Amino acid sequence: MLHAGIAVLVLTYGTIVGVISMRRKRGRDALWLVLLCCLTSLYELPHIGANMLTVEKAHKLVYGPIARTVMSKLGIGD
Amino acid sequence: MPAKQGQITFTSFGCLLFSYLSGFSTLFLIEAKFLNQDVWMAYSIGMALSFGILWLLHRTQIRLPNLTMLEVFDHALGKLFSRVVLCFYLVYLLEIQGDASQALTSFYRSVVLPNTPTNSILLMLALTTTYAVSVGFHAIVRSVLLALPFFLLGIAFILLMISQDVHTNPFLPPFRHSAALIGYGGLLSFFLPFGKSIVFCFLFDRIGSGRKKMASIFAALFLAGLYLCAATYLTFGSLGMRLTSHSLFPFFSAIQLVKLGEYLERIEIMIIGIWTLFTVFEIIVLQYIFVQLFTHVFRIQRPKWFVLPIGLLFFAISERSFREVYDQDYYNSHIAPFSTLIPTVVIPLLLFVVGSIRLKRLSGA
Repeated sequence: MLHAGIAVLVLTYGTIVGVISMRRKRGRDALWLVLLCCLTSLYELPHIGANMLTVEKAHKLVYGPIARTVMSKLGIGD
Repeated sequence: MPAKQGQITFTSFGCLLFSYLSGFSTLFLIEAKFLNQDVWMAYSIGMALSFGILWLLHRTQIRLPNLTMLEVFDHALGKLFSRVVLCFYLVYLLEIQGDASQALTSFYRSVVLPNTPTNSILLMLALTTTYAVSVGFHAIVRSVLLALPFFLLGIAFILLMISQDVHTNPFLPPFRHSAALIGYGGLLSFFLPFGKSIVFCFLFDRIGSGRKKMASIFAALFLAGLYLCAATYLTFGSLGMRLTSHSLFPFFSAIQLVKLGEYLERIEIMIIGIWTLFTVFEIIVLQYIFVQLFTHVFRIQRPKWFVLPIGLLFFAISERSFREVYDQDYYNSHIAPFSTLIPTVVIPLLLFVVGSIRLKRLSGA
């Protein structure tokens, strides 16, 4: 419920403020706001959000092998 | 010297940096678990490296003293490349805030609120930090100045009480670890807590330029290091090396040993309240800087409207990250020391080198 509530809240906010921004000739603000709100609500969706890439997951993929190599070279075990 | 319009004093800046560094630094004591009695060397390396990088950023900024650090990035690296580079900082801020939020939540769930769902604590945290960011930078600084005496008093009291259990110097005998391990410990302490101070370069325009700026940064780093060293010393002294290495929150375990009289037990709960307040300040500062960077990178005209969605994005990202506390421990000790090197070392060095070539021409013209 909490997730769905936040997803709805953020999408509603994005839509209302996005429309106001458009009416005030701030198209770029509206665009980024809507994108930001869509991204946030995607993270809040139950099944999609849990499988979405986060900074932690991305860094584990990219830096994990580097960290393991460096640590084995330094002789520091897990 | 009074601060100019819209700026804060050097003392306020130093206090803000100290509170930012001290909030979450004593929570896990990762480098202490790696290095035991030689941990002070790691702290010294972390402090020296952070001060060196901030000094380089300061040298770059004073070439164009009337511009903000973000504009200095644009001038030095070119508008397009600087935006790409600043995106690394956005990712870094998301990483650090997720880490700090989850650390605080797991700590609260283990110690004070075991039946409260993680989501609820994270949401409360996100709403608090969002409100704090929306009231502005000066309000954040003033609240830090208000909370700092309580923090110092509470921590000084608790350190004094723990010191009664310490009978031998736990930092002896020194030099028991290899240079490689000490170097890695230095990297760990650079990631957490000292290297986090690099993002304060984006607040350089909020204080005047000159030597006092670096003096306030040095004082804040030194005092944060001193506090961390004292906390580690007393934790080792009261718990011993073995228990410290196996404890998830070693400093808290040491605090729990403090008993004041027969009826005033659980005094640590009061101290925790003040202690964790500084972690909240850390997330507030991170969110504030994130809004500044986001506004600059995407050329937003009205940043106020982005504060709430950014707060909710912080909530969503931190909720989806570090689901298990041991995941977080592994991430902090193995992945983050490497993943944070680009924004904290590589980019400042690049900015300094490119800036010293390009900005010299610009300031001379």
